[in-house]
Amino acid sequence: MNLSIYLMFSACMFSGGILGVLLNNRNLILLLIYIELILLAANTNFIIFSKLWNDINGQIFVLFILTISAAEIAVALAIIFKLFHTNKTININDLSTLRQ
Amino acid sequence: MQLAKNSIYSLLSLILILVIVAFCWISLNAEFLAFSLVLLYIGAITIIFLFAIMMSNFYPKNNNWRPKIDLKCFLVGTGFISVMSYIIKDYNFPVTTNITGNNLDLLSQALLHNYILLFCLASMGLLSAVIIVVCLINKEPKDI
Amino acid sequence: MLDLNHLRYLSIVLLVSPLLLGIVNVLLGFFNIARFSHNIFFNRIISFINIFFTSISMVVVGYFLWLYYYNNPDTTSIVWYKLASISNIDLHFGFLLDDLNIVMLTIVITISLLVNIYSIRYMGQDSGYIRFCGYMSFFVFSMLLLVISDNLLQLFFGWELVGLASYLLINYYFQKEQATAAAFKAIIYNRIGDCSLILAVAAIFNYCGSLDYLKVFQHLPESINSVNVICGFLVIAAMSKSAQIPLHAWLSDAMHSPTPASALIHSATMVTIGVFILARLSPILEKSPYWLNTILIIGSTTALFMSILALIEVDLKKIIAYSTISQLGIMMAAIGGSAYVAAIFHIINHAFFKSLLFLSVGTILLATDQNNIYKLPADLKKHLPISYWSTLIASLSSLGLPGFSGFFSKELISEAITSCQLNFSKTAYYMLLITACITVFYNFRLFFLVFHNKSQQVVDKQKNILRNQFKVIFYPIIILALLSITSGVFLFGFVVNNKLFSANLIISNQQQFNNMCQLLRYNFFSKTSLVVFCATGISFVLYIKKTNLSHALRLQIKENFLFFYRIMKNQYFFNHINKLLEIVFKFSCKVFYEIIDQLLIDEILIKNIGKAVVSCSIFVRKLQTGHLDNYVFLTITGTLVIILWLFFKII
Repeated sequence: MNLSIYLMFSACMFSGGILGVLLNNRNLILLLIYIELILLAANTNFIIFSKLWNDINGQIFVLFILTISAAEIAVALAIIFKLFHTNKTININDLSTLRQ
Repeated sequence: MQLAKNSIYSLLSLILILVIVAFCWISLNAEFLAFSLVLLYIGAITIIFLFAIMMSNFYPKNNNWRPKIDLKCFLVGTGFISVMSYIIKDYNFPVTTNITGNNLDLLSQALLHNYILLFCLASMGLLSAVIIVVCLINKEPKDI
Repeated sequence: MLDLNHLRYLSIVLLVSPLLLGIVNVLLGFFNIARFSHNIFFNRIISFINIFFTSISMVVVGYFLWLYYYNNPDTTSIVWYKLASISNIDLHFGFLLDDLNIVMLTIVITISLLVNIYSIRYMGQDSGYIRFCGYMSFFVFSMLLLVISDNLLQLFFGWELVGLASYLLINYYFQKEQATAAAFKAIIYNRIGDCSLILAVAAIFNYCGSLDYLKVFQHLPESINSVNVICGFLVIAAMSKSAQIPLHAWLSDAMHSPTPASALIHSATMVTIGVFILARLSPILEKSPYWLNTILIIGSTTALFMSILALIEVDLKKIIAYSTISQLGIMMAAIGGSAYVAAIFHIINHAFFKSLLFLSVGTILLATDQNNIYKLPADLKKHLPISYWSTLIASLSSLGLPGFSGFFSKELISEAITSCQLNFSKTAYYMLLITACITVFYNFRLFFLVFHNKSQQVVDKQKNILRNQFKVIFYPIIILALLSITSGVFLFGFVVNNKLFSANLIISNQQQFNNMCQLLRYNFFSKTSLVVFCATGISFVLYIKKTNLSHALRLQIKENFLFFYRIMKNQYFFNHINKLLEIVFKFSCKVFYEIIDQLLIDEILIKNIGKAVVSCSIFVRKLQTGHLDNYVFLTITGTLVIILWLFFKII
């Protein structure tokens, strides 16, 4: 069975996530959602290649990515929570205090 | 890109994608990981997103929102997909191997024999994440 | 075989004594000039030290002469000081003792001693006498360095130092603006020769593989092109130092120097080193008939045209300067005709009679303080009898009257040119004949206008201060007069028997040369001497006899030849050519400075580079907006670029 179709699927998910990150003018949480999509695409890639080479290490790495991405989302949401309380908005266009 | 007016709609599409991907993983002989994907991502992380969106009071209607259309971003996106498809299109990845044993056995053996240290470190990471989150959202109690 | 160490020490003494003298004089001058300058006693001490050290050098030279000619003359070469050793080449300062060097050495030392004695009285009252003595000694030192050298490097050092000494001496009366300008002009002209000489030395080093004379003569280059290159540079160098056309304009202006300096430098020693270097390197020059022809053309042209200029000059010393240039032209023509022996013989004779002429004219200048030949007071013969007779002897030698010294060398040169095989030799012979005729005219013009001019005014007797006072000024004059009469006859025997300069000079047409010498010995009436006698007669008529005929004749000549007269008065417009060159040079410098440096580099390049950097920084600054959106975009675009780069590089 040909694994190219799976790879294509993973590539589409990845570029979809990139486009979402770039074309996002709603809010920061949507940004995080798209980042999750990117990570998912990477995970799928690992699974595909572990099946191709009959190597279990790819799936081990997927497990770790799952773990770490969960932790990262939690921390990111906590930061956004604080940001919301100080700025009263999470619209990307309004958050421009990185430069005076 | 948001084709949806509401960000909750985007979240629901994420859940859909996660389900599809889970099925995809099952067909790739990674049942345990598909199961854990459903459990962790859909079961926990999307709930967190939901709570975050609700608490940021963002679901009141905003009718004057238009999707952002930007040439350079489209170019970058198409750049990524075209590079990747250029690599993939000429390659054949046939699979001719047999799988010996189910996914859970293989995973657990590798994890707890070879990667035991990383396993512990990952758990440390999770613990530290929990502590960080708790510290971040801790408000100083106001004197009454 | 001569004892080498013994010779080495003596030669060092010879060289160092004028150098020491120069240094001592300059140091004394620094410390004492204001207080003691008008002190006669101090000046006498300086004179004594001067004469003493120069006499030491003279004694050493006499000893060398005796050693060299009493024992079998053998070329000895002594190394004084090793400078450097580069692969197989040795650079050193050395001393070569052979025919040519001994002769030049004798001339330099003799004339310098006599001029130093003369200048006790002449420059003794001057406030800068110490400076003068210092400069003269420095000149003698550099001249010795040049003349007795055994390699080309030392020759070059001597050449440059001699140019410097000449500048210092011309610039002696530096309060006069004309003297400074003249000194500067001399330096510029000499510089051209210096550049050419260093190129010649480099060419010889390249083609012959060494800088020593003896080694160069053994390894002469074979191809005609390399010989032509070397000879070309040598000829230009010789032309600048020996004042040939077109590089002659500095010598007439150099007469702003004091008379003893002119006698030493601009008649006897410095201006002859051009001829000396060509004679020294004659084996190389012999191989190039093209350049021999060129030298012949240049020499005879110079001789002819400069002698014409002496006919209308009014300044006393400038007449003698033009006469010197003319005689140098004759010497160069001799070199061109391959008669190197004749050229050196003429150098010796010319040294004696020309410096005699300068010194006599110097006494006249000292007595009357008048440069212009038409404004001299009358009855100079009565008040300055010794000057009268010495000027007469010098003039007769100069024009080549049979029996005097100039006759022998000039005859030799004329006959040598006739018998040489070059294209120009016939024309050169006739040019030299005309020059001999004109030489008679200007020499007698000088003599008659100074001493026998009937339209001079009588002045009071108090002006003539030379009569009863220091006689020491006349001793050198008397010695030189004797030398200039006898040197021709005395040395002619040596020349004929090839005992003079037989070792390192090449004499082509040896048999013909011997025949010619035998002929001259018994025959005083050749073509040239006939011309000389006729011209003497004509000049008597022109200048002395104050009949209506002579006066009318002179007016007629002046009317007819007014056009030529104007050309001669402007010295053939060489000074105007110099001005033109100066304007061109200044213009090109202005172009370089204003257009290239100020406009192109400063304005266009440098300022615009600054502006470019500033605008780049303004552009880059716009990237930092502060919006998260843009930063995210930049990050992802950067990732894409890196992926593309790696991808296209790897695959």
